[in-house]
Amino acid sequence: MDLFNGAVGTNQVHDFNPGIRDNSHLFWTQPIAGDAVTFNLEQGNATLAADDLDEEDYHNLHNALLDGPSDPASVTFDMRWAAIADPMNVTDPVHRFTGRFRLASVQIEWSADAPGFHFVSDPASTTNNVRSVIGRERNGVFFED
Amino acid sequence: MDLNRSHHGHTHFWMRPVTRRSFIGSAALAGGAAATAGAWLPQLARADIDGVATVFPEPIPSGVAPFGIPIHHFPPVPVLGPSPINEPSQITDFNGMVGVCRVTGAGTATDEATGGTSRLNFQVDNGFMDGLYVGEDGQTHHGTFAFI
Repeated sequence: MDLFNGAVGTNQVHDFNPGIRDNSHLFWTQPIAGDAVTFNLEQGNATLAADDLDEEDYHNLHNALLDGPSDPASVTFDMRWAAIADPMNVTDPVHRFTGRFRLASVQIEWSADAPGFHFVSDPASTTNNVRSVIGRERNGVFFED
Repeated sequence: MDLNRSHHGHTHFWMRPVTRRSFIGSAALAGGAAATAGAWLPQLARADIDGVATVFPEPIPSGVAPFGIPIHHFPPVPVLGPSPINEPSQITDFNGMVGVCRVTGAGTATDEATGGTSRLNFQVDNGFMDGLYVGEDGQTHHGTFAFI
């Protein structure tokens, strides 16, 4: 979750994520409670909500990718996916994933806290959706199922 | 992949005591994750479905390399092909529900030392994975994960 003092992509000042796992290099992924997610592909909606989730503030993308120095931080967010297209079956033999997916639009309202810093987003209705997807996916050992 | 990177002078969230973390629960799970997951793998204990996973998954085997740094992740855009979407999941050996997004917007930042405020722009690439996965222990689990 990135903040910029200027246009998106320029003069980044905060980069909140959970870090890259040391041994496996699992990327910016952390366990959450099962009831943080709701999902209904046929109805075309999903939600993800978390409150006061522990993160690191790496301040910029390059430092985050290098897993460089960071400050403890937390984020709270409530986000909603709403499908904008019909379901499509996708099988990608190159990257070995398959499933049924829908392009979607997302609205988010979120906040972040870091030492001496607090951020709160504008209302969810002001979100600009670039590209979002929901779906059911199989990959790895489940790819051939 | 460069497998020798290490973190510098900080502890990741999974190495710290859980002091701040709590979650907003949703009462609107009808037809959602919990019920569906139970049908997939009925032998799993209910606590394994509703609780927080304690075994980490493995990352997807490939990804992009921003700044020449390889990562196990595909952003939602640009679409790299051959399929019409990039892989949404961050975890491999996975069978479940996924969501991913790229959104932008704006908000207000407060400097808590001075009380001064300023306007900042944001980009958020968040997502979730909820379902079966083979964990670092080689066993199959059910878990829910956020991509932040």
